[in-house]
Amino acid sequence: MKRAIAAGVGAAALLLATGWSFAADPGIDPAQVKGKITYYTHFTSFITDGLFDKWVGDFKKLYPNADVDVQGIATYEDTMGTRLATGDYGDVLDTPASVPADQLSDFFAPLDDLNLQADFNYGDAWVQGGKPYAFTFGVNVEGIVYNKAAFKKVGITAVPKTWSEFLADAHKLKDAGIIPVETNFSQGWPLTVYDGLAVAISGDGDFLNKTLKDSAPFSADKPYGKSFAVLHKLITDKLVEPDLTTNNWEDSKGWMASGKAAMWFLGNWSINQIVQEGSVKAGIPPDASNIGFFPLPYDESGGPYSVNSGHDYGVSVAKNSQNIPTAKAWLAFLLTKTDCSQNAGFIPGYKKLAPTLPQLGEFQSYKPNIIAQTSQTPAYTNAINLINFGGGKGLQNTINADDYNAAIDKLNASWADAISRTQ
Amino acid sequence: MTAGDIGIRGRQRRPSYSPEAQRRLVIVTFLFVPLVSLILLNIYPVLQLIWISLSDFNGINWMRARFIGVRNYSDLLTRDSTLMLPIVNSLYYLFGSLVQIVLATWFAVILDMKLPGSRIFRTILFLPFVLNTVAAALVFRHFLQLDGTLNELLQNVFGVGFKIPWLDAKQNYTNFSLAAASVWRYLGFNLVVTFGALQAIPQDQYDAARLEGANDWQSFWRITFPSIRNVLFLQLALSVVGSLEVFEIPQLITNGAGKTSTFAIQMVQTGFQFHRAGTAAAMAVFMLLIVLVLYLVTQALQRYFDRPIAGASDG
Repeated sequence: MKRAIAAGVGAAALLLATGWSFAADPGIDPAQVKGKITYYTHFTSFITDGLFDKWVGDFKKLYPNADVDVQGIATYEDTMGTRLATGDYGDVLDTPASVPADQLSDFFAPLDDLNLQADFNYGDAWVQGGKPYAFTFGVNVEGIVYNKAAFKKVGITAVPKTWSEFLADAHKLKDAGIIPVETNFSQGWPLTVYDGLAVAISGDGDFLNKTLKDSAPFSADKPYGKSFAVLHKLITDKLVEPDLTTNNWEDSKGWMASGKAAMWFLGNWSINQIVQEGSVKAGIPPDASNIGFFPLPYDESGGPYSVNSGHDYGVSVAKNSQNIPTAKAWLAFLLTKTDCSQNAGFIPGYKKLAPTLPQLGEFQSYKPNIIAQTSQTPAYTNAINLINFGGGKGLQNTINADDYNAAIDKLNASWADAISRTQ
Repeated sequence: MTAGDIGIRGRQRRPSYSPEAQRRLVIVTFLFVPLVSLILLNIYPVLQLIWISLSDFNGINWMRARFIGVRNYSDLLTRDSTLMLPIVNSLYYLFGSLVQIVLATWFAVILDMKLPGSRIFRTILFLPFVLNTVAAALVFRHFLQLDGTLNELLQNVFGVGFKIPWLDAKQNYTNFSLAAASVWRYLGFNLVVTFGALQAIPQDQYDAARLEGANDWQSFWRITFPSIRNVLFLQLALSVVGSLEVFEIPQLITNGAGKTSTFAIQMVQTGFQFHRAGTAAAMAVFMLLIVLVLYLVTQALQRYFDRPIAGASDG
């Protein structure tokens, strides 16, 4: 009798456990979540600081028969491009940006049975044939990240409200021997925020895709032209780091933390990197309260300004995975039950998780008009690849040219040629 | 027992190999590994490269790759011709490698004079070649950067009042800075090759020349130079090919930005960053052809210089 009760309680407990689990993760049968899977991620720092060990430990508490081998890759896009071509890309992976929207189903397993699409910001970002193939870690808004102590040192008491105020403040910083705006120009990819700035100035989340209908989108009077002009002005006025050729990305995090550089124009994801990695580089204690975040005042209107927002990396399950149930369980667990997204400083993709980054509150206080950027169409991706434009390369080449205006004309001409080739 | 059995079965089946067959067996056995490697690691990739160059493969998705004929090639000669432009920058590196050969020969001749400490100097000069390229590039990045060692040196030791942007991607001269890094990195190789050739020259030739009253300059041009000419030609051929294929140094120092791009960097970016593997493969085939032609030219030149010289006795 006693034994029967014990068995009953055990069964009830088991039912409870599985019942709870079912409620949390629809589409996942816990009995099938077993065995070891491989997960490729670009979050190498979360491996070195032990966060992934903790998350995998929590995952194993939920699914005792499962295990995850987390593989971090520093040059993620390049490496995964090769891995995708060979078919060896693990069971779960951060969705490489190189997979065009119309080829998602060639590489990834559909995630419709997880029933998570409505619970995610940008739930339709990786949809093909009505099915989602990835969900995002989180969302970024792009603005000016600044070192408050550096601003205070030169007597800037409020963040600039217009473009001319911004320039005046930058000159004050420069006169005090501080790098006003760290652009990381040589790296290329940090310049993709100027694609976002064009989206913000246009006020249309689908702006980039619509440039396919414009044979001269880079002209000075159009959003792209205005966006490029912002960086061109900063560089010609020497309000940026003096060395625009050699790569100082890792060092620059330290400069932002210490106040050697005062501002950079990037997404909110970069804030925690300054606070955590940057302070280590600069040899100072991490101080999140010293870093602020405001929308870039790109004209003389005084605001409120539009800001570009978009999703960060998504997570996908490999189509050829031998263990799709476990892969899906890990994907759902990582995105909905860990603080991975918050640690990265995102606005979590999963809507039920609250953003924890304090700087987002300050950013919101300036009442920015947040423009949600839509996914790039395959036609747009093809066109920018034809002119070697993406990843900041187009802007880099334009600025590095002998004559800026001639380079803009040349860019317009090659763009017109590219769109004629993609149609 | 087996020998007897086979003997009963008849002469034709008997596995007795003639010396000729045994020789063949040995040759085939020994050739198997190198031939398989050659096919697997050389011929197959080249064939695949050519196939990719005739397709619109995007670098990741084989399922969507289509055969498009020679369009990648014709595009590279017309609307995509800007992709080919960085090949001009090879000239900076070619110039650098000529300087490098001259310097290396000079150092090798001096070291061959067996002055005290020549062993140490040889090691010092060879060291950069043993160093891995990434480390060498990092060293030069810090050396040439705006706040780098070279500018600090000029400022503090020579009193230069301004900083020279040695690595400004907007300036063509930056290619000279990068070529200099390349010279430093590869000088040791030329040095060791030339030095080896110098060691092989019999000392009695020099002794005889000295007895005849030849000075050092005359012995160099009449004895040393003809003896190492073939080695120098080999180095020249390698330099021409090498300067067309420059990749690591500019990639690691400037990321190929602005005016510092090279053909190989452009090729890698086109293939892997902009996902036009077909176009990039066509660029690679073009490079292959150019290298082949230049190699044949240097070979022809070498044959030309190696011909028996009629007026050789005037020396």
